[in-house]
Amino acid sequence: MSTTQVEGSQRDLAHGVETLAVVRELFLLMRTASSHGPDHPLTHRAAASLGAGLKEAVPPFSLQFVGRALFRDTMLLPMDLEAYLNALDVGRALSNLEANELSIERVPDDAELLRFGCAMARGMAGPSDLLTVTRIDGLKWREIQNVASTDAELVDPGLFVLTQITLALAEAAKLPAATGEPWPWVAGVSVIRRLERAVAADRAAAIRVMDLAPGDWDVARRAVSASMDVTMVLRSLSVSNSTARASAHATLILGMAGYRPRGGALLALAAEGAMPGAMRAPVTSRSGVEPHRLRTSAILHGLAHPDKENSPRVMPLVDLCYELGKARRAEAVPFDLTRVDLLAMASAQAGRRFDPDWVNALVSVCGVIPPGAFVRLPDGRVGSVFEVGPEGQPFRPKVLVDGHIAIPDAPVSLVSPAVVQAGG
Amino acid sequence: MASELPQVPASTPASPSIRPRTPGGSHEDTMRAMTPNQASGMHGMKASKVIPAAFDGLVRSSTVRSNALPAIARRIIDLWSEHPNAALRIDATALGLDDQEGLTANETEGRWLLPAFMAGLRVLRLREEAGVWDVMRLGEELCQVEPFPDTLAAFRDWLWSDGAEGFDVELQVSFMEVLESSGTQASWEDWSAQAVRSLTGMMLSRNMMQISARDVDAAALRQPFQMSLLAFQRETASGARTLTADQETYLRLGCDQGASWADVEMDAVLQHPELRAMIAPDRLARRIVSLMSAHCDIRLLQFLTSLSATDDAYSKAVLSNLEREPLGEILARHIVLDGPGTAALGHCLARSPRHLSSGLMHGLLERCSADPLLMEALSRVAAQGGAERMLSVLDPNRLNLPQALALSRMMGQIVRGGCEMVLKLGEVCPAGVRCALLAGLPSRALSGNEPKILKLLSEANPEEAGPLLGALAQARDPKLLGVLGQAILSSHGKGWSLRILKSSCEALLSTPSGCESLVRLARSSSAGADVRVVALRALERRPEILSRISRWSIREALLDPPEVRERLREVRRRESEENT
Repeated sequence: MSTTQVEGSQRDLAHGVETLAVVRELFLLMRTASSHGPDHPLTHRAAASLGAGLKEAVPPFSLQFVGRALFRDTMLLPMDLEAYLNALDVGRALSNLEANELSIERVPDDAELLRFGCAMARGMAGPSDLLTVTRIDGLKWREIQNVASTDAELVDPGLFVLTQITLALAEAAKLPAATGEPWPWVAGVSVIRRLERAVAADRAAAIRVMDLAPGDWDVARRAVSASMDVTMVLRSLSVSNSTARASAHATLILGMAGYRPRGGALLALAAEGAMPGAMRAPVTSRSGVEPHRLRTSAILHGLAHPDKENSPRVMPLVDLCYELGKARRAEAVPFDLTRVDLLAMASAQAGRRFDPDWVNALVSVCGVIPPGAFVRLPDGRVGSVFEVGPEGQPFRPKVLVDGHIAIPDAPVSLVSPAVVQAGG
Repeated sequence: MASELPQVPASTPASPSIRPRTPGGSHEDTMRAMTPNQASGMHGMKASKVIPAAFDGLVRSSTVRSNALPAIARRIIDLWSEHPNAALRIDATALGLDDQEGLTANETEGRWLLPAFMAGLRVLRLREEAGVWDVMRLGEELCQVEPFPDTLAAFRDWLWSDGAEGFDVELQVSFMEVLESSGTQASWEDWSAQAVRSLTGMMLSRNMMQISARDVDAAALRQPFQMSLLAFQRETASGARTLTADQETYLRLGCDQGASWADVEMDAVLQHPELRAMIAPDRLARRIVSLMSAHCDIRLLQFLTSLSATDDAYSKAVLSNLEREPLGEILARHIVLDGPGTAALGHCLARSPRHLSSGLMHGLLERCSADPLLMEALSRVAAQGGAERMLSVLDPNRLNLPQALALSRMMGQIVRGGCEMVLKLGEVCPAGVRCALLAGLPSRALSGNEPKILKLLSEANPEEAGPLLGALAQARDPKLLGVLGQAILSSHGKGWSLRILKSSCEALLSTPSGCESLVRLARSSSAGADVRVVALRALERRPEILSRISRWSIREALLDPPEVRERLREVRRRESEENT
């Protein structure tokens, strides 16, 4: 760790201490105002202490009470049990007052802080809109959108998916591509975990976001997409976490090592090329290599030596998804294929190039007309599929057209940009 | 390795606010709480209290690197194994078992809960194959996790990467991920609309476009990729791409096939020195056992055979560690004895190392006692020449009563010369197992062995002798019934189950010597009241003999227990009614 990093980390910790002191003073003011009322000397003293604490914490800064955690300027704050319980109570009171974030621009005077403490005391009792009509000089607050409750985990699934996939793509863009550098396992795990969360939250949304996110189908995006396909299929089959995660991670490594700006290397070559980087990365776990890394490496090894008997059944799925990622931006053609094009291609080659069971499994999770696919409605309009059709009616999906969701009364037909351009 | 994980030194300026977790009492307290001898409070305590307390003790003891850690870990496994499906639920300030409250965090206990919770850990379940090492390992990680973002992330990644071997772990969305999602401005709808607009634009202008090189390429694309949306639409509409339930099962099971993973992981380790350096042979052996425990089949044998065929020192070290593991029993739990499975079993018994065959046989015999179809399949292997090998790999001291009974039934009924083999095996087995072995043989095989049987019955405890006594009672052979009569008289029926006692008395009625034994038993002051009553009840079916003992005597009035007196009074009342 460099000197600058150490200094930065010590500064962060010091800020953490001061911030927790602020939360403690806030908690005390809130409780005192609630039990003794605004005129009691103890309440006045608590307001003064909060003022001193705020000064120590060096405004401006903001506090976020999200889930059951506390952040300062979106950095998670370390807490012990006592601090946690204080923060929980303050967060709950703020939430009752329709606020999750408190911004301290400068230290208000004691009278203003007393007023704020009394509002917090009201928040302790239950929901109130008191803060909407309160103004405190130097203090601001707001409700953080999309956080539905203080019990964490309750975030709008669509938005959660969008965030996770966008971040996964951003993180993947920093991964080494075909350079032979040591594979950053922790960063890879982070990408796979985001994909896993996104798929678990809303699979259709995950497909839509992945397929329609702005930007090119570069190496990283195709690798992430292939990895997500593996995750979706294995999750839908309830395959164990170990296998699903390792397979997805192996696909990501393969994609990064094997894909080129257009097309890519043969699977076995990509696996062989990926192995040195995957092996060379240092082990960070106290107990040596984790089972996840071992299994992921074993998949890469198995794919590099495809002649091995008794290979785990997941290998052909990795093969399928890797190849589809390669074909997404195929060599020698100047445009990209869509998911439905790729499914059509896999379907046509099922039983010859690809394992038919895995093709069926992939079509099954994506939907016959997958979310994000372009379709022509019976009235001739073109839209993109928002959600797969109801059970037994896969050709009547919900379609986003002209900014509205349309539910077609007759089967839609698939439209491919490539085919449209070619006069098909 | 420990130094590579982000640590916060206790002397950092911020440390005063982060109260260090107090080892408080550590392992001594824990052991006191958990040792059955001392913990009078432990007996009768709910598992929901004991297991969380023991787990907290483990983490606190890990903080001080107590020597008692292996014992604590073993105790946790024992306690938890009594509730195999129980889930330890982690909350920020509490630790519970399933839905029941267990332990609440305070100044000394459960200080590790908050950071673990912040890292997203919610549920822990102990796997069947978990060992002491696994439990200690998790304890060590939990004691080191601190509520700092880097440490939390490292711990979360470790859990996610299956680091907590021996446990099923449930992780929730972490606090950071929730915050990331708040305030996101991006919109899929916008992207979608933009893409559709661009596509529609292309379509509208299509008639005015000249065929360009790009379009030609696009048209050509359809051939090499063999891609036709129309064909795909037709195909899917016909249901050709529907995944059937059978396909689903096939894929799922194939993905988690333990033997395949063990094979490919071992192969990767052997081929890559870097991986070898990262995983010790004993740990790899434990992992292989863990994989096999979850899912395995007869391919395990192929894997072990290939492992033993190499001269590589690392492989030999793994194999040597595996020899200490119950692989045969694990295989026996999973093996399906269909046609190919039965053939493979015969091969396996003949060729595989003794420790594996032995474990396999013991495991299969255990299953056979509850599964007649499996018994049939195993009998086929025995009848096809595998019997001698089967018996030779059995460990007489490991054979339990159900296994012994299943074995002798199979050998005695189906295998030629099986009875002799079983009798020979019995000579080296403990008395109880010998009883079970004899009990499973047909009665003809027992004839001629009466003195041995009598001696055996005097050595074995009544519970262990039960199956043999039952077999003698059913034999209807006068000589064997003579043995039964002598056994019942010499033991006075002490410790015999009511069922065995009743059936033995019933059987003894069929011979004069047997009846004589019953009379002596009914009169015996050494026999318990309940035994004598059973004998009297049996004799009621032979009134001419019963009358010899039913007459009132001063002995009855002074010495016989009330139950016997009552029974005799009833007998006399009935006799008098019949006479009048």
